[in-house]
Amino acid sequence: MASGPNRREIMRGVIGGAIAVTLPQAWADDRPQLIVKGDSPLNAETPANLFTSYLTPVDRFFVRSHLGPPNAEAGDRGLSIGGLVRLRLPVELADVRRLERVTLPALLQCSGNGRASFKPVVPGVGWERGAVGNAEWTGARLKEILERAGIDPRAKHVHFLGADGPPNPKTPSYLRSLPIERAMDPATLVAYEMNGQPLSRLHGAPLRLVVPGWTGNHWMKWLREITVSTEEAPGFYQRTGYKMPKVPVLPGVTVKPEDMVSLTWLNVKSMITAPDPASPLGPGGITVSGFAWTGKGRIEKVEVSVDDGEWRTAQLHGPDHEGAWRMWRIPLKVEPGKHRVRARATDSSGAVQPDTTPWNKSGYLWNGIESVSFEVIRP
Amino acid sequence: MNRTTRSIGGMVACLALAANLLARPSTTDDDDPEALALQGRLAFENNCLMCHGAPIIESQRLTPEQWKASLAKMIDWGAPVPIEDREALLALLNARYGENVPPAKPGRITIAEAEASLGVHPAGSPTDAHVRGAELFALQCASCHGADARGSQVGTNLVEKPVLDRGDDFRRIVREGRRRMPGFKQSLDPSAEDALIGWLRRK
Repeated sequence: MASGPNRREIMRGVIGGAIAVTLPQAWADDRPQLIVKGDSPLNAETPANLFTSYLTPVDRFFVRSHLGPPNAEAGDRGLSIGGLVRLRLPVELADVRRLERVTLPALLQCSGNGRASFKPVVPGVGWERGAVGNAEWTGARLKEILERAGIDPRAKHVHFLGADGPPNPKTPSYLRSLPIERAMDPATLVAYEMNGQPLSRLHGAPLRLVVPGWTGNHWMKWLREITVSTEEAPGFYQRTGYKMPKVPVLPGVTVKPEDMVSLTWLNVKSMITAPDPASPLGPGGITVSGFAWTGKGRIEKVEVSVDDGEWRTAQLHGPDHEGAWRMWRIPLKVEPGKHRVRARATDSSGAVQPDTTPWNKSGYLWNGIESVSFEVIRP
Repeated sequence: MNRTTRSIGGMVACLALAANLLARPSTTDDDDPEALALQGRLAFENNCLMCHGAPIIESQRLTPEQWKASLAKMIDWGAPVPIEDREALLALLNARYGENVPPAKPGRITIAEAEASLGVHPAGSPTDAHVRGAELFALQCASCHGADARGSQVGTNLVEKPVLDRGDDFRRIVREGRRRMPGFKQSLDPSAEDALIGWLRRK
């Protein structure tokens, strides 16, 4: 990974790692810390100043859990495939690894990232800015698994069930489905590695879905069962949850179920990760930088405005893959004092980030232009 | 321990559970804010924290209507909040986590700490004790955790849960109880605890 050795690793190098040494707390705890939004099960987001590289390191990557990881032994239980297929099979993990190995970078963002910005307030995990990350995922194409099982031509949806069992029989299981077209998309993976390492339990080991460009609720973790069907999955998480009004409504307006639509593609968005509001800057030029992404298509442009001045185009740099984020930066000269910087992204469909995102009762898909305040100190 | 003793053990546990539930104030005097606060706190601990930790609630700031709707959703999903405790629980949620309450300072965690808290794959899980484990589970645990161990309204799902990788935590909870669950140290010895965890790990 791009991140350099931290103090603990340097210390380990110095002392050789063979002897157990208890480091003082200040030395031991310089590993990146996520912001806890929920524990048991864990929901934790990345502080914005920890996004410093194209690939988000696993130890900085946000964690979203619906019902929490299964125990370690449960991870060895493989995958079953059923429903409208010729071969109803249990599949061993080794079988998935024998299929063509595909690696791609893709951005994962929780559909509720930015929920805390909605006014009036909405219930749900109060994500601020960091329920997002960009990783390199390795796995088999879901398409290849389905083709080997022999899908029936009547198939319209593919259901996915995780091994994260609900706490009691009245709690809905995390059961979701993808329309067959998205399941057969060559970029949809059943992943077993993240950033070149075996997938960790917190991120869905041993197998999770990777659905580039679509909201995180589709990226099923701890994948246990695949069922091919003519219908979308039953149950709360598919039929009621993760839906938006087809057209924006005023806050508090109740929308009929038939006027709601399931979340699919992400919308255009940018994030400012430097300067860090918590660290005053010295005099001279500064660089404003961050990341931008969208669902379908690519990022075309990121513009930056300081203190409500004119929008200036930032430089896009680094890798440019559909489904992954784009890095951007712009050097600026600013006078000493307090300032406010804003950034807005435009994608290849022409969509531009709005000042604010239409309110919806579950707080999904916030992509309002954000502003970050910082201070430049006098020489 | 013979079957009769074990059955008695199960009955003692059920009585202990009943006593736990009865320990909350049985009547609410609206004029006594302290009693209402205590009733709300016990309802929170005994019903909400059965299935999830407190921060998911503590990190939210909602209107009274939203807390009411959230509570209704959780009750629909199996949270066994007695009718007579609901008003006190809502009062607590609105007082502590209402929309005008300043936001809480969130905790921080490293991925390493979070991974460690899940426990590790136990080497050499007991394999020969699971038949006895099945019998013990049916007698002692099934009335709350369900015959298939997948939970009921009074006890949570234990199948494939990370606590099965944390033998010491599992044994401590069985012995001492936790929240609304009574302790079983009177009726289950360490070999019985091993048999139970061995059977559950195979589920």
